[in-house]
Order: sequence, then structure tokens, then C-alpha cells
Amino acid sequence: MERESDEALMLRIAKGDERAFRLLAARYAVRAAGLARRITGNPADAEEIVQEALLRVWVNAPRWRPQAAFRTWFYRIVFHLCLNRKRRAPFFPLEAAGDPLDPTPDARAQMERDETSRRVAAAVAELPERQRAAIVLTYDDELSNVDAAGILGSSVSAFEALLVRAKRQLREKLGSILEEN
Amino acid sequence: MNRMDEMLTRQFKADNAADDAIAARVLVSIAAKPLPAQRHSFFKGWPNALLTLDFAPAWPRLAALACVGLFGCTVGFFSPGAQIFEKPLAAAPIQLADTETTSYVFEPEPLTGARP
Repeated sequence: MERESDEALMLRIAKGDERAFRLLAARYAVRAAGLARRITGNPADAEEIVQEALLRVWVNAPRWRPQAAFRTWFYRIVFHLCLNRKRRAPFFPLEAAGDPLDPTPDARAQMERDETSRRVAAAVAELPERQRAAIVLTYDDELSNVDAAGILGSSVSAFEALLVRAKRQLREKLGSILEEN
Repeated sequence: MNRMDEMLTRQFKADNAADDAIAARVLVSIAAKPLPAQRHSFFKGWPNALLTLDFAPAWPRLAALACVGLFGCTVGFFSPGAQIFEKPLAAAPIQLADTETTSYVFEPEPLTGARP
């Protein structure tokens, strides 16, 4: 069963196969957590969203039609659950505060890398939700524009325009870092 | 791939430890509790529901019932007394006496030959 496709597992789940469900859940939990965490900016929210999304897969499996790929359908559930969350203050993870200064030369380079990472994370977190989702789907999940557009419920051309706007905003915010690199 | 693409890809790849922890907690949580009931489509599940209730659909009998129904409709529609497909009678034209002028005839007087 481990080698079966997502769609084959869904057919089993539709018949009430709990083992198939747990297998599919394990296959997608990490990716869903990444998507939810980066869109909501909050690990606690992401955890609730992933759990809710997986339970929705189980509950609605008998009504699922294999017209679209399971991944697209599942990511769409996750994305809509993220949007349904109340807007909260922009989240900055605790790691963003950085570690205490270490005087060794390697530590300085590491600190610079951490600073760059923190600024990139903050710039992505400041994007509007749909633009952030477009960036995450493209760079984290490495989805094609067609799949990502399907998840966001827009046309491919609209998705590409969204991605261009998101990258333009990021370029403006990260201009100094890009020049340094 | 330009610099920003590289930076974003590197950023997301290096930042996955938290996702593993979230996923692990979710999977443990799901495994610990019984799963909720599934929602079945009505149109897909009604034969099963009928079977559960001992109302199993007997397809030969249903087919016989449908044929009898069709035969009844055919006889009803095309029997000699049925008027369902006949044209309705044309309504008689209404003529108002006051407006009818074609019946006015002016004949000469038979004896004198005078005309009105």
C-alpha cells in the first residue's frame, strides 16, 4: 500500500480504510505544515489547520471525485483554512530574535546568515496572503504554475501576475541584501 | 535562476525543522482519537441505505414495473378516445350586427321600378 498513488489511497479511504488515511496523512503532513505555517506565520495555527485539513480529507473522502490531483485538492483545503483564520499581528518567530553574539570569526559569518534569513522571512511574512501563498507554493513546494493556480482558485495568467507582484515587493524589501550577495 | 530565486529556495529549504515537529504532533493527535464519521454522497450511497433497511432494489421487478408504466402511457395517449394530440376546434368568428354592412341590398320597387 505504501507505493500506491495518492488517488488510489483516496479510493481506499472512501471505503473507510483508516490505514490508508494514516499513510496519506503521513505523506502530506509535513508539506501541509510548511504551507500553513508560512501563510499564517504561526506554528500553533498551522498545527490546528493541518489537523483540520486532514480530518476533512477523511470525512469528505467518499464524496471526492478523482478529477483533479489529490495534492491540488488537499492544498486548496489548507489554503482556504489559512484564509479563514482571523488576521493576526504579523508573526515573527522566536528564532528571529537571533542568538547572543559570539566573538569567533565563524560565528560572525553565521550571524550574518541568520540575519539574512530573518530578513527574508520577515519580508515574506509582510506580503499579502495570496502573494505569500504564491511564493510558498512556487519556492517551497516547487509546484508548477498550473497546479499553484488551481490551488489558489485563479487562472494561470492571474497567478503569474500575482507572483510577479510578490517578487517585485520582495525585491524592494530585500534590495540591500540582494546587492550585498 | 536569479539571486532572489536562489535566496528564497535556500530560505525555505533551510527552514523545515519546525514543519517536521508540527506534522509529528498532528499525526500523534490524529492517531490518538477515533476518526469522525465520513460523509457519504446521497446519490452514491442510497442503494446501500436501502439494503440496510431491507428495501433492496430488485432490478428485474423495477424493470417490469417501468415497462408496465410505459405500456399504460402508450395506450392512454394513443387510444381512439384520447384527444391529447388532436387539434382543438377552431373558434367560430364573432360578427357584430352593427358593424356588418355587406348584407345591405338596395333593390328596385317591383311595381313602380323606383329605386330607394
